[in-house]
Amino acid sequence: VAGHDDVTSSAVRFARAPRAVWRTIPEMLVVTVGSAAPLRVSGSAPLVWQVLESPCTLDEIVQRLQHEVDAPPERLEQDVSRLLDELVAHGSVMPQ
Amino acid sequence: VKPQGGAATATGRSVPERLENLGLVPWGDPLELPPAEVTRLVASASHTGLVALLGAALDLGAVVGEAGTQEAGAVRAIVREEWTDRLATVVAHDALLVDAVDHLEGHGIPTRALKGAALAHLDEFDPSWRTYGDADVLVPDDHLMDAVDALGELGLVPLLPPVRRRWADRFAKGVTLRADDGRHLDLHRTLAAGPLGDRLDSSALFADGTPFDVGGTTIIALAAANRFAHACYHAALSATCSHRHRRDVALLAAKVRPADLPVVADVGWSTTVIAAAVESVTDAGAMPSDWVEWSAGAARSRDDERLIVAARASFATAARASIRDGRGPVDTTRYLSGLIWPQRAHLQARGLTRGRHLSSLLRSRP
Repeated sequence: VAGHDDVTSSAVRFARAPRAVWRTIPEMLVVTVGSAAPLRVSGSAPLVWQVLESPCTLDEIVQRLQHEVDAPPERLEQDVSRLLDELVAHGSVMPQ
Repeated sequence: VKPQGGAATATGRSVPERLENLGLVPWGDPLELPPAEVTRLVASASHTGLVALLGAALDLGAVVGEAGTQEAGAVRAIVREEWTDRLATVVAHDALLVDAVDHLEGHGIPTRALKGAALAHLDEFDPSWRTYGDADVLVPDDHLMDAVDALGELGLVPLLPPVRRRWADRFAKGVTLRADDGRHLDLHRTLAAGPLGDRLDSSALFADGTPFDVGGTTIIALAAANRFAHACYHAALSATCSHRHRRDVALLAAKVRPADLPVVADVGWSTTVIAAAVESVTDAGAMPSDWVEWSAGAARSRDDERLIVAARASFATAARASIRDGRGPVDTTRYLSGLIWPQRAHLQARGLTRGRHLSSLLRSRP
């Protein structure tokens, strides 16, 4: 897995992995791909997952979420970046 | 409203009965649940499907923690944790479904997704409201063991080796397969055991279908009328008809009309079984009135009523009903010979020697 800065650099676009399957409930995303153990992520994960319906950069995701999440932009960017790292490491999101 | 121990609420229905109808009938005022009642619901068996419905009811505000208790937040957290656990099982099996369907299609074996995944994606208000613990796939009735062989390439192996290969291809309802990580796939040859399943026209079940998307893969379910009939069979023929069975029938009853029954009957579904299921769900209060009227006036076959009773009893009772239903001498002989003389691997998996198997058959003779 690439380091934090590499994975979430502003040029990289992120997309749901082909065959990723998921369920969302308020503030909880449960996702897996293939035979990987399902990953559970809370907080703004369902919103990020919804945005990832189309490939997006970190900046685009943060921009989209700013209207829906009550958090300062820097904090939001950190949270989304950390989430993307986790999803990429799991294999359910792919950097393009 | 403060129900105790599954007691009736102000509507006269227990909490599980009200959750069974969540979204299907007007809810009324929010229901206050004491922590002990929530604990009981969270511990309910996964086949009831109540944890997801309780979680959904909490999110909707239809159910609230007992006012004034500090435990309300903790109760909500416990429900969400259990719901999330069950959704983890669901997505693991959706991933298995995608792999299995794709692999079978690659081998030229058509599929129809059944029950949990199909209902969650096509019929439930939100897919997260429906939980399940396996993947269910129907294959054409002459392709069961071909499909077992194909899925073996993915590491899926029968939980119990079939009685005999040819017997399974001709008489088995299906084969349960297990992946090495513990996930299960029920591969169905038909949709009911014994004569009721034998009557179903496999090619008619595959003649149409309803597509849905899982992980970017198009999966095909049975057409709505056949999903309704299958849900009815599941509810009417199971030894215990759970809240989830009844909800499935009610959800699909909203999509299919009694006028669709001639099409269903052409496939070979028994209207007696469908009427029995509709009747059992009617008391829960969520069946559309046209179905209630239809079931009240539906003609019933006594033979099929006997088959319903047999299906709810032991395997031996169902097998005897199967023999009595008149398969013809050749098929009856083949059916019995498989049961009397199964392959050694089948006996070994059941921990039986051939001698012990034969003596147990003699003891169970009617």
